[in-house]
Amino acid sequence: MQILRYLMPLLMFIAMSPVMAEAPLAPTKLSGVTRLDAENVVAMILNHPELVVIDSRLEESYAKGHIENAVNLPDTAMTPETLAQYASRPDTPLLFYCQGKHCLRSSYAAKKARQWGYRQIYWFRGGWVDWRDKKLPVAR
Amino acid sequence: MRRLSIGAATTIVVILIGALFVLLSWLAGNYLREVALQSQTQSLSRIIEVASNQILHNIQNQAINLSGTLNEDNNLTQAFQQYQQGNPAPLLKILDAPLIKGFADAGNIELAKFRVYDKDLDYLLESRAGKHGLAPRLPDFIIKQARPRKGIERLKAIGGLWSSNQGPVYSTLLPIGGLKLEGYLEVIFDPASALETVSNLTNMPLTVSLTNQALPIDEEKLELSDQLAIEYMLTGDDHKPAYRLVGIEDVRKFNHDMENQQLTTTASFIAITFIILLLILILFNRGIFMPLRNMLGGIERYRRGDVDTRITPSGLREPFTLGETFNSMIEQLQHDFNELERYSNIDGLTGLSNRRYFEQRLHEEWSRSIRHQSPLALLFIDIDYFKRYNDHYGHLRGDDCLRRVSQAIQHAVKRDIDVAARYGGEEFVIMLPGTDIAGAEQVARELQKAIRKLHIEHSGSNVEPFVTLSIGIASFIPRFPDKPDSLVHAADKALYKAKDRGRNCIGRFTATA
Repeated sequence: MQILRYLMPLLMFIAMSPVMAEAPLAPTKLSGVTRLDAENVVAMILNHPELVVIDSRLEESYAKGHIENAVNLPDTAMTPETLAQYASRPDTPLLFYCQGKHCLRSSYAAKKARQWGYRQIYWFRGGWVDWRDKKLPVAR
Repeated sequence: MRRLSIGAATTIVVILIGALFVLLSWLAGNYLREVALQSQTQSLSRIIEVASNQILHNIQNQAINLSGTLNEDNNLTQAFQQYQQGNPAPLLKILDAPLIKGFADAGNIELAKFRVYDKDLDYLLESRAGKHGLAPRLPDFIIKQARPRKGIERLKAIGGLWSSNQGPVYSTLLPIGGLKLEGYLEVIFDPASALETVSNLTNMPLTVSLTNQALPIDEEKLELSDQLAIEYMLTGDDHKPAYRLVGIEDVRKFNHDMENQQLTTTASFIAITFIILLLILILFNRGIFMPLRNMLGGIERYRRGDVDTRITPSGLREPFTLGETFNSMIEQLQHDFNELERYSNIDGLTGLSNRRYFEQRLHEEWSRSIRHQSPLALLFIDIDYFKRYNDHYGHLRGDDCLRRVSQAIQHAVKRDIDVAARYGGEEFVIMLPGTDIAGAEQVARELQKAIRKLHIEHSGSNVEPFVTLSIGIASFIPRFPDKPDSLVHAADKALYKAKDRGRNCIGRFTATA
């Protein structure tokens, strides 16, 4: 039994290691931000022409393929000014996405946009990976 | 015929069992090898399957990317709208370009054709460049999947491998118009060259052939060499066999390992057999063979006359018990023999020695007396009128009388070397080695006294009303080459002398008489 005291942490470490080895996950919930899945994203784009879809990834990822009509604004390059170029009014609906659930760019960007006073913020957590998995059309 | 020894029989049996084990292990080895080869083939075939599926998946991704490229700046959508207004030229130009000039990211994937359909999946037109002669309609399995779709589902790319009238191709159905569905584009790839890259993924030489083509490999040649052909039949999404992928795996190391394993198993079985044989033979030798040899030696010694021989029991329980039993058997035999010898020297009726024993002892004592020049005395005793006693009292009382007289005679003999014996009928003898005539006479008188004391009634006697004895005595120092018979004759003569004198007296033999 004594040996378990030393063995248990080791076993737990071994069991945990695949999880720990993975990249950190994006939050599942953001306050004041509406989370959408791929199908809702398509419906939103089709039903709300004023919606601004923002691809928060770096430019080379965006160039390889993105969601139709999305604009490229990496989270690192996003300032109140750069964002205002695409969305001049705080009630403009915004949709953020990035690579996927292991990517923290879009959640970060959505949080910032909310801080800057935007009121209609949507977030596609599944991102580009989910979009490709569902074999939806790619724009280049 | 020589009989087989336990050792030889055991050796033969153990070797046979060992050989059987070796044979079985060899057969099992062959079987294992077959099974291992089969599972090797299966797992390699599975690897080819996974790799080829990965490649087909990549082809579909390429189709999705390609449709995105075609629609750059909404070119494709606009050309499609112009086509619907009656001008097919821009659409055909867009579709022909990648087929003629090639396209980015093409890699190993060979583009075969573009075909365009309306929203209801009805065929509209196809690219002028590319594969010719395809039946102008969507393959059935795509129609089956695409027709029931509604809403956003219709935007998702679907497709698969199928056998067209121009050979196997890979089709992907994609929406035209981006997220606003206006029509459909079918991107058709020829996957053969892409599938050849399975060879890179699996790291083994591979040939891709159509299923109706003959296998490009001589299988018989492969059997002889250390190469294993792994066949995988790639079936299309229309459930028709599309391609035959044959990989060649070098199984030299595998064969070598299997042979080594088989050799090791066989060798260890042979070694185990010999070790077991050795142990059994050691055990048998200590436990059975040595005790048996020991016993045979004992029996042989006994047979040669060493009746006191005994063997030391040893070995396992059975040989040990056998040894013990042998010893007790010899003991019993010896005892019985002694008993028998004793009975053969005794007179059954009286318990005195018999005449045979007396004569044997007489010869011995005669020889001894000659050597030592010592006197040898003999008493010849007769019961007076014993025939009348028998007639008068019956034979049973006669026997009784004989027994009582015999007891008295036995008592008259004091020394171990003296012999008292029944000579026959009612005649008895007493032999007294180293005794002169005076000593013999003393014994005779004491005997007569003892008989008189017994007072056995004998009404038929002329001498006394009870049993009396007539005794003839003789004693002399025997001389070579006289025979012992001379002593018997002498004593007999002395007895007649006593009888002549009226019985119940002692007759002495004198040399003159």
